[in-house]
Order: sequence, then structure tokens, then C-alpha cells
Amino acid sequence: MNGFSHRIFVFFLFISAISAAIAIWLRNNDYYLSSLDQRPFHPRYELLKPSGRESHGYGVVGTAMIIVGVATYSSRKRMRTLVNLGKIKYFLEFHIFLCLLGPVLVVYHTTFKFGGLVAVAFWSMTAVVFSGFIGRYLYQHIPKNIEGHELSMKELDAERVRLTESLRTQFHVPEEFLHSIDTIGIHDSEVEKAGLMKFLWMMLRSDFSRFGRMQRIRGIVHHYSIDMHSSRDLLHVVNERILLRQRILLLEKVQRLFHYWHVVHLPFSLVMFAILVIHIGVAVAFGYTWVWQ
Amino acid sequence: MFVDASSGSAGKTGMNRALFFLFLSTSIPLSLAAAQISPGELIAGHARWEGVENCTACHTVGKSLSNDRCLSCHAEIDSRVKAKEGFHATVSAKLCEECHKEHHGRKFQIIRFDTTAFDHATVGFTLDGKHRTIGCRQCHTKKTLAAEDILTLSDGRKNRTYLGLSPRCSTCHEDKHRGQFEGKECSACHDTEKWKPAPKFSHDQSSYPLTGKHKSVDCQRCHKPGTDEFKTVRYVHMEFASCRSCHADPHKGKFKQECASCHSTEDFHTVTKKVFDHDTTRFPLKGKHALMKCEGCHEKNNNKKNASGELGFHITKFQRCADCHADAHAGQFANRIDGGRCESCHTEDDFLRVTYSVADHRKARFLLTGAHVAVPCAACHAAQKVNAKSTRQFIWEKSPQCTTCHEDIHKGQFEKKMPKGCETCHSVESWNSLLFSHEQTRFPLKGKHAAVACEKCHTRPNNSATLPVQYTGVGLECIACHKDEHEGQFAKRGTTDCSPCHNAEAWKSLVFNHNRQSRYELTGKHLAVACEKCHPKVEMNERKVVRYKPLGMECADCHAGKM
Repeated sequence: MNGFSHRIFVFFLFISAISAAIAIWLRNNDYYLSSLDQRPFHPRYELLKPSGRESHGYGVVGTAMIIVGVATYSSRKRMRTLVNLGKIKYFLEFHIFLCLLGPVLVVYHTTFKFGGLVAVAFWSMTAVVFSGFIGRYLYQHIPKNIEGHELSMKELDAERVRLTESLRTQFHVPEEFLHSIDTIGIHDSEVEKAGLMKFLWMMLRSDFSRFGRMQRIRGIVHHYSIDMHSSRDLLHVVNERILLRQRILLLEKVQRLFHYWHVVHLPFSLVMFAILVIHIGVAVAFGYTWVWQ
Repeated sequence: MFVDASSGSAGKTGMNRALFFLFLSTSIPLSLAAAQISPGELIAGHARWEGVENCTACHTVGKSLSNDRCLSCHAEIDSRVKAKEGFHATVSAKLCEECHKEHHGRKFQIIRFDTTAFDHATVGFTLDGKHRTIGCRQCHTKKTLAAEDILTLSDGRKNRTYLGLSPRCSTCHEDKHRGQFEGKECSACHDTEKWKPAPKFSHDQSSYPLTGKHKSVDCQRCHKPGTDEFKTVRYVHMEFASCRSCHADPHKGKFKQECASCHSTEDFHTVTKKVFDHDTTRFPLKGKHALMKCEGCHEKNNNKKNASGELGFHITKFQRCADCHADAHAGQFANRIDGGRCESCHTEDDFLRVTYSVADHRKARFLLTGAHVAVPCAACHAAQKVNAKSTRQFIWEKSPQCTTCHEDIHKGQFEKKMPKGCETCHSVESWNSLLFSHEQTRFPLKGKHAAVACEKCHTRPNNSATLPVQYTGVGLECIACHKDEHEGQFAKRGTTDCSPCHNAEAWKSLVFNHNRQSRYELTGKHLAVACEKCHPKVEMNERKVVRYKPLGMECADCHAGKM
């Protein structure tokens, strides 16, 4: 699968998940929006109650998706025999898809009613999902090669040199220009002094300041009266260099954060699975076996 | 290059931290959630079964929910379902959970039904009439619970339950009759529209069906409030066997029999043979008595006299007709042997159609015989003032004579001469059938006199229409009736006696003997000479009359020419 088709595929997965979530909401929102004491008298209560055929189905399917999503990704990550099954990046994307849609279906299974022991599993699942977003964010800040493997510092430095040379040779920028663009973005001193929250803030600010950054780059380009015929490519390379520099600056801390993220993401998922097993066991024990009655 | 954050020393540290976090993240929530394996809180009524150790109180491991566990506690519903009574019996095919949802919190209304749409008939008690207009809790209260099993429930459940009522009216309604109708249902008489009146009640169902005027009497006239504190109107154990239980006896106990033997409820004053048989009394009604109205003899008002002259209704004097009837004969028969009993002559069929017969009349002082038998009674017994009363006379002081009734058409001519009166000559067979014989008179009818009609001799003086026919004082001489043809030639002392010559056989059949009765003896040829030869007709009194005397007796008197 090439990049474009892969992106299409990923987009399809995204759209599918969104569509499924929206479709279920549109179908059942009157039930979900009704108060808990009125739900038993909803005309579709028997279907939509958590043990109802529809909602129970959401739970079963959503759980199955989570299990598959976790199992496949974890297995691919940990088992060398599965290396040839595909890029870990793709497994991650599949994991993300399944473990986003699955929890959504699980939420619909709960009918937005949270209580009891299984609520712990639910909130663990929620924590896992949201930590997943964070992890995905942090992951995004860890430079990787096309295979999806993390790049070493040496490789990152080589890349930055390559980009610098590209600016010099391809776009004939003066050194002052290079110094000027190095002033854009996060600085070393900021990173060293920053605590966890400030560090995260710096990352977010950097990610959401692309427009400002590009404006500054344009300003510098204009200042140095650099040939604008290829300004678009120049801007792209300059931006890449700036981002790479930032990532190099942030890499260590990002890696540390990513390490800590695992401490959240994994345990919560374990808690979730543990209580899920209890929940399923109790439900089956008391006759709630969905279509297998 | 692939960098796994969980590998190596960093991985071990991470795993330790993960496990620590797992412990923190699960131990506390688990300890808190230990009792929350259920999907939600139970209702307040089930709160004692909250907790993981009580799940099997309702749920059966390995099986889905069934009604058994629910009904094992809710025995009152279970018993009714088994008895096929009540609402739940109609939905016994459903699972309890279909209507009663649990695990929705303490305050969740596990029993919820639309009281306005609920068909009460499904519980075996149809709401009709006013029952439809009242709220559920006006009947379903703790006070109205009757079922034993419901009474054992807690106060809270008693207040909430809709079970336990009895369909008996007394469950909710006070028995206004205070047990008088114990064993009977109120609905036998009353309906649910209104308590009063009782539309289903029919007095015919009681021991005293209302008939006649009793039907229009207000209930409270008979059924009066009692003397108890509630002033309960009495409906049972009432005295009704006798009319006197309610009605005063207008007869003051004079009649021993029951009122119903004479009276009906249609109208006390209307006593008909259908109700009262007068024949059962000492005075059976016969004839016109039977056609009379009771008030013709009996008086309703005890202060007024009845037909017998006694006050009020009761008649003790009835043995004699005169007890009720005035003596139409003004006491004329009072001295009769039977005391003047009306029955001797009269019947109850018709007073005027007397039974006094001719035969009876023949036992009277005046025997009815002859034509008298055919005479209407009134012809003899004329209307008179007798004892100052207008009546017909039946009794005379003296035996009646003919002239008592009949006019003496002879105007007393025979009064002195005939001691037997009219009967001397006449008989009762016929007035014209005379017993009279002229032989009894001084003028026996002889000869042709016997054939002469009476009126030839006995005429009215001067042909008067008013004067009677003269029977007495009639001249006995011939010339009293006959004309003296001889114009007085033979009269002596003013009267002529025709008998010397004539007799009654025939005028011309003479009994005259010329030789003995005249002075001229006929001899010789004189014997053969016709009378008229010697006795010529001469003018006398302007008539041609044969001259008999005086005649000369000399020959020359006749033979004058010849000598």
C-alpha cells in the first residue's frame, strides 16, 4: 500500500468510526438523553438497556474490537516472529482505530450510565483511550523512519545537516538566514528549565503555532530577499528544519514522557481488562449471554 | 531503529511503576466497588439485598431472571397468580422484570402504571357508577385492607399496595344497616350510581311483597329510624304478619278474622267479593243485597249511624229486615202472627216482587177468588196514608166489602135490601156473571120478560148518564115499562093492570076470557067474531087505539046498521 492509498485507508477507517458513532447516536439519542428513571419506560428500553440486544451487542463488539486491537498491536510489538506481518506503524493505526471505535461502542453499551464495579473498568478504559491520545501525540513527536522505527540522535543530527545543506545549496540562503530561523521555536534554555506541564505546554504551543511560525519564516525570507520562486519549497524545508530542531531538543524529555505514559496506559488497560473479565463473568453467570441464550 | 520503552532497565522500572499504579488504581476503587458489582442501586424496598453477596437472592447463577425468586418473596402476588385472581394473574405469562425494572436507584418507581388507563375489570372488580370518579387511593388505603396476607405486610407496603381489598362493599363503606342484612351483599339492592334509592331492591324479594297502595307508601312510613345511637332505619325483623302491626283496627277488634279476609291493599275501603265473602258472615248477601255497596249498609265513620241505626261499621242488628229497612207498610202487618216479617212476602231479589201468592191471599180475611185473582194488587191495595205514612193499604179494620173497592154503581139501591151486598147478585168471577135471579124479586121474570134485556126495564132515569140504572123502585106494573096500548081503558085507580088479559108469554097471547073478564059474555057467533069487529080503533090521545071499553054492550052498539 503506498502512502496515498494508505492515507485513504486511514481516512476511511476514521470516517467509518465517526460514522458509526454518529449513526448510533442519531438512532438512539432520545434514549441516551432521557433521565435514568425514565429510561425503563422508553419504548426501546428492552433493546437499548445495557443488557438489551442492541446495547449488549455494542458492548460485545466493542470489547472484541478492543481485545483485537490490543492483542494485535501488543503481539506485533513484542513478538519478533510477527515482524514480517507488517509495519508496526500500521498495527498501531489499526490498534488506534479499534481502540477508539471499540470504546465508543462500549460507551453506547453503557448507555451513559456509569456505576458499579464495571464503572472502574469503564473509567480505566476512558483513561486508556485518553492516554492513548496523549501517547499518540507524544509518539508523533518522536521522529521515526519510514519503517516506523524511532530515529536515533545520530540519525536526527544527520537529517538536520542534510536539511541545512539543502537550504544552502538549493536555496542559497545566507548563514544569517540560518541563524535567524534557528531563533524560531523552542530554545534549549526553555527545555532545560521546563517542568512537565510547562514542557507539555511548550509542545502544544509549538504545534499550534504553525501559522505564526510560517509568518516569521516568511518575514525572514523577505528580510533576506531570498529568491521567492521556490519559496514554497523553501518554506517547507525551513519548517522541517525548525521542527526537526525542536524535536531534537524535546526528544529526550518526550521519550521520558512517553515512558511515563506507558505507566498510565498499560496499567489502566490491565485494570480495564481485569474488571471487564469480572463484569463479563458476572453477566454470563446471571444469564446475560446476548445472542447465545 | 526500534526503541521499546518497556525494555531494559527502563522497562523494569516502568513495569514496577505500572504494577504500583495498577495496585493504586484498582485497590481503592475495588474496595469501594466491592459491593457494586450490580449495574445499579436497588430500590429502597430491596435495599437489604444490596451487595454482591445477595445477588443470588434474585438472580440464579447460570440462568436468566425468572419470576420464581420474585414471587418467593412476594407471596401475596404469587398466591393470587396461582388462584388466577387479580391483575397479575392476567399477565402471569410475562416476566416480572418486564414491568418492574430494578437497579435504577433507590427512588426508582418500580411499580408504575397509568391509573387513568388501568382496566380495573382485570382484577375482577369493575369500576362503574361513582366508583369511576374517585381516586385509587380513596379505596386502596391501609384501613380498607382485608386480605390476611396483606395485613401481615409492613406499614410501608400496606400504604403502597393496591392488593388486599375485598370486593365486598363493606370493605370501604360503612354498613348503614348495622348488620341487618348480614350475609347479603349490598349490591343486591344498591348500585354504584347512588346509594339512595336502592334501584335493585324489589320488595317482592322480601318476606312482604308490596301490593296495592302499599307500593306507593314512602319507605320511611313503615321503616322508621331506630332508637340506637345511629338511628338505624329498621328493615328486618319487622312485624308484618298482621295488618294491625301498622294499621289501627277501625273495627275495634270486633272482627276476629284477619283484615285480609275482607280488605285488600288496593283500597281499604273497597271490599269486594274477591277479597271478602259476605257469605261467611251471619248475613249472606243475597239478591239485591249482593249488589249493594258496602257503605249502603255499613258506615265508615264510627260517629255516624249505619243502616241498622248503629254507630260505625259494625252491624249487630240485622236479623230483621226492619233493622235496616223502614216498614213500607207502616206497620200494617205488625199484628200478624209472624210479627209482620217482610220475608213472608218479600225476597231480597226485588221488594216489589212479592212472594205473597193468591193461595196466601186465600188465607187472608179476604179470599181472592174469581176475577179478584186477576186484579193487580195495587188496584185493591191503593196508595193511602196509613199511620201518617204514604203506603198502600193492606189491612182494613173491617173485612172489606165490595164497595170497599168497587163503586156501588147501583148507588145504594140494594143497600138495605141485600144483606150480602153485591154478592147477592154478583160473583167475583165476573161482574156480569150475575148470581141474581129475578125470581128473588117481586117481579119474577116470566114469559118474554125473561128474554128481555135488563136495560129494557131497568134504565137510567131520564137517560141520565150519571144516574144509576134503576133496579129498585121500578114499577112492577105493566105500564111501568110497557105503554098502555089501551090508553088507560082498563086503568083502575090510575094504573092499569095488564095481567088479567095479558101475560108475559106474548102480548097477543091473551089470557083474557071475554066471558069472565068482561061484562059482555061472548056467546054464539060472537065467539067467532074477530076482536077488531067489535073493538074498533079509535082516536085516543092522538093515537089510533083499539077501543075495548067502554063499549056498548047492546047489540046495537055493534050491530046498528044491520038491525
